[in-house]
Amino acid sequence: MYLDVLVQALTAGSIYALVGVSVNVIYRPTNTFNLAQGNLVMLGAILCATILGQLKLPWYLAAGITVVVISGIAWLTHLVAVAPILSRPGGGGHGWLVSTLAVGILIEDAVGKIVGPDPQRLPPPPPLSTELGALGVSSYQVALVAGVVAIVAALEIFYRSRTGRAILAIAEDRDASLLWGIDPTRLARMSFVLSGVVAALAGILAGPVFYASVGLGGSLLIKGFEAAAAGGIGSNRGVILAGFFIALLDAITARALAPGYQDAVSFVAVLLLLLVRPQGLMGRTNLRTV
Amino acid sequence: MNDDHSGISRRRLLRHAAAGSLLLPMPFIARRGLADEVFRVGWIRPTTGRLASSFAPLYAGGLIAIDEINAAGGILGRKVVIQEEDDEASPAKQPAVIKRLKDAGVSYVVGPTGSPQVLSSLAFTTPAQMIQCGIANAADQGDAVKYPYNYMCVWSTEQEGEAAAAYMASQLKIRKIGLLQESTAFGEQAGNATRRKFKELTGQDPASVQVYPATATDLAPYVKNLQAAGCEGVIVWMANTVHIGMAFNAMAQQKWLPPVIGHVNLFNDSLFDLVPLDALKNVYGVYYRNWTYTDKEQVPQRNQELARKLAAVDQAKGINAFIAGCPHYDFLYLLKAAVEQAKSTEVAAVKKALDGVRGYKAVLGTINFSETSHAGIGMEDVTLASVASAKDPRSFGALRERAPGA
Amino acid sequence: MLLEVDGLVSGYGKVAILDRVALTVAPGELVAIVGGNGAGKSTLLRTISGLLPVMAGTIRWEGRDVTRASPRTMLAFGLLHIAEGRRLFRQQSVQSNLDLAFYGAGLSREEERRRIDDAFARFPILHEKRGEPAGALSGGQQQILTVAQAWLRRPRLLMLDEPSLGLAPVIVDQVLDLVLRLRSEGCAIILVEQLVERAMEIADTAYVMQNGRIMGSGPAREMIGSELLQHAYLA
Repeated sequence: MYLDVLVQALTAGSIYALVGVSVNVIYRPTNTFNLAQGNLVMLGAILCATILGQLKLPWYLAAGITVVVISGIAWLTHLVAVAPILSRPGGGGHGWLVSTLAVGILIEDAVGKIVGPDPQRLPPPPPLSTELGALGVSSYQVALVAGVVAIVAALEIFYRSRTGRAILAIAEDRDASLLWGIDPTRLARMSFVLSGVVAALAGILAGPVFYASVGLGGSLLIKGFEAAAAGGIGSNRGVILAGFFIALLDAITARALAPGYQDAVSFVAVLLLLLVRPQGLMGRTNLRTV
Repeated sequence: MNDDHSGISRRRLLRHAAAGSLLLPMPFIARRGLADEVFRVGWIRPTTGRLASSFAPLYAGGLIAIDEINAAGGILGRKVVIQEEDDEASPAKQPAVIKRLKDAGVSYVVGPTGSPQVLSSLAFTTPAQMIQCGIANAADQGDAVKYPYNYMCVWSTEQEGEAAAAYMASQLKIRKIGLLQESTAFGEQAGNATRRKFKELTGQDPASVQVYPATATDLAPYVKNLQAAGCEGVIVWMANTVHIGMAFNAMAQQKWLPPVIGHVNLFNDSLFDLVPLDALKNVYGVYYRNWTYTDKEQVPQRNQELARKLAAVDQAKGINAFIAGCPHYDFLYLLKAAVEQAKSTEVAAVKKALDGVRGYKAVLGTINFSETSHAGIGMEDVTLASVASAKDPRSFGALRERAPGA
Repeated sequence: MLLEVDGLVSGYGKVAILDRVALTVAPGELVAIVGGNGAGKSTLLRTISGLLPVMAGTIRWEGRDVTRASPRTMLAFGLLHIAEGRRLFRQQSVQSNLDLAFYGAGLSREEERRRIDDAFARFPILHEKRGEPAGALSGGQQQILTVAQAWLRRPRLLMLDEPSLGLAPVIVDQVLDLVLRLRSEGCAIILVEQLVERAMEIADTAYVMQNGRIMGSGPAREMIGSELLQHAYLA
């Protein structure tokens, strides 16, 4: 009885978590949010669906091309819309809010014009299928959850490398990291590319469940931000937990309460959580005691 | 911010340049000189913004009407020219858009699209006495007392809701129906009309009513609730193709395929890419009778011609039936008829002629207006058509096979 | 000369703090910079390391003009600046902080391994606490960690800003002892220190700063108790 609620929550939660993680990846070294992130996810889904549908390339090749293109756009976003603002004296304030939002609108408008409003089907990677199996779970759903956990695990390993720790060092003390020869601009650029990879994967993985459509970006961006905030900015494991938590709450609300309240309930839950734990589920408080 | 402003005005400038009117202030052109030669129609259509790609193609029928009218000598011998204004599909942009049209001396307006947009626009066109026809199906927009200058040439959402209920109750003889509707004004209006009509016809309430949020990411739980409630037929009021795809796939997954009736957007071709054809065999959309055929009855010649022209429009690909249900084609021909009957382009005279329209044969049906009602379409023109018939060779473009017994 | 600073003007935004500062450091030399609060000592270090842009004047490294070099370039030349206030990465482990000292140094794995083992041998407390976050260390331990980082990097010139700040006298002794050990390995040092006499005792040369200017300089021992020094702190 409750199994399907759980399955639904795990499926949607994995995607939310992945979007949240891609938000996190950028926040760490730059203290900025890329408001175009949702539309990068959307573009990932649509591009992959279009390559598969029009060019009939093998699934994994199409996914690979998509990842390269999306991370390229993320790189360009940093180059054009973020780096020039952050390099202004005083860090440029919050100009990146407007500039990344503009990139997002640009992407959405362009996709709307070129591809149109119709959703497309994005098949799951072979040999997986979205057909429900014996337990009411499809092979794709199982692989999706495992894949998301694997992606986050890979990121965690990266953040243990010297480069990864240098990125965390920038987040903690920008001046000190400069004095150790760490180049924040270069690592920010790397982080944008990395978050583009995660966003593209999020889109490609969301496609078989949510379809590839222009509308995908906005809703996933909100859920992704919720997951990032609730999980604790900086903690990818926390974001996964929060993603599942939000999706589970959505599913239970839809079942038990009036479905119209789904968004409000998860939003209020995240707010309450942040009131009690401002650092999020697994975020660390700053140990800045001198 | 300054850059933004200059960007917009540059765009506007380009558009005026494209209209060949770069060097003269608009009011001057409209009142003098050219005004004697052309018939100017305001064309409120989003060309930018997130909804532009969904809304802009819906004006294709109107553009065809203008080409036809101009080829046949125009209105009162004047060439019909559109003055396009981009509203970005935003209700907030309507006041500025209407002001620009008013300043340009335009009295006849096509657009905008969407109920909130039309309502916002009506608040300004009504006091300005501009005759208007937008794409909106809320019933009160046909209320001529409230909106004396708005003419509704399409069915209302209530009529759509009733048609679906009537077919379930009277033709399919189903007593346990389920309702699956989105949590929007459209979902609520259509759902309420369905419930009212179904109660009237059968004395029954739906066995289950499922309302999902517009941001839902999975519809399987709602579909399961419908199945669990023992529903034998389902009426769906969903505006978003993604959700429609999710709902039908959930039914297919559960191997539960009851008859389903829903909105005209079920005819969009993209559904066939999202859902296996087997899951669409028993699915019907509410549609205009004139666009449907049966084994014995053909689609009227005029509709067939328009269907052929629409099928040739690139932007209309995949949504021919949806565009065919838009009012602009009929409205422009009605306007031509009214102006020519009044032998004047003065608003008061044209309004009088429009209010007197009775039994006008339009492509969407027989249109009747009066001084108190501008809801032009009657229930006899609303029917149901088979979604799967899109695969029938007789269904070129906008045409569909009428549902059995409808 | 290892480092030659001449006519240096810099500050924050458009406000100049340093007023035509001149200073030289020879290889292996220990230079102390003393002066009251707000004299411009930290600003001078931040300008030399490239954190602050130069408004006028020149900075030379072994005769090469490095006036506009970034902190990264300066570090590549061998100049390491340990800023005031024990600027460790507090959320990261002691081990990670030590490892980040190798960032961009281009050393082989074996060399890094060797230096880390050496550092752990010299600073057993760091070996003991290697898994703990740096922020959990005591003030003295944190200062030892920063000096150990410098040790690992083997700079040719180390600029230390107020290493004794907030430390117990016993710990200050330990830290200054480490500084001397670094110098004995051939590393030149610029020491900004509020414990003037302690700094003067170990330094070769001292510069007295006041209001962004160098008021005087000379062999450190000779300046202990001088009028110049007293004046600088009274002002």
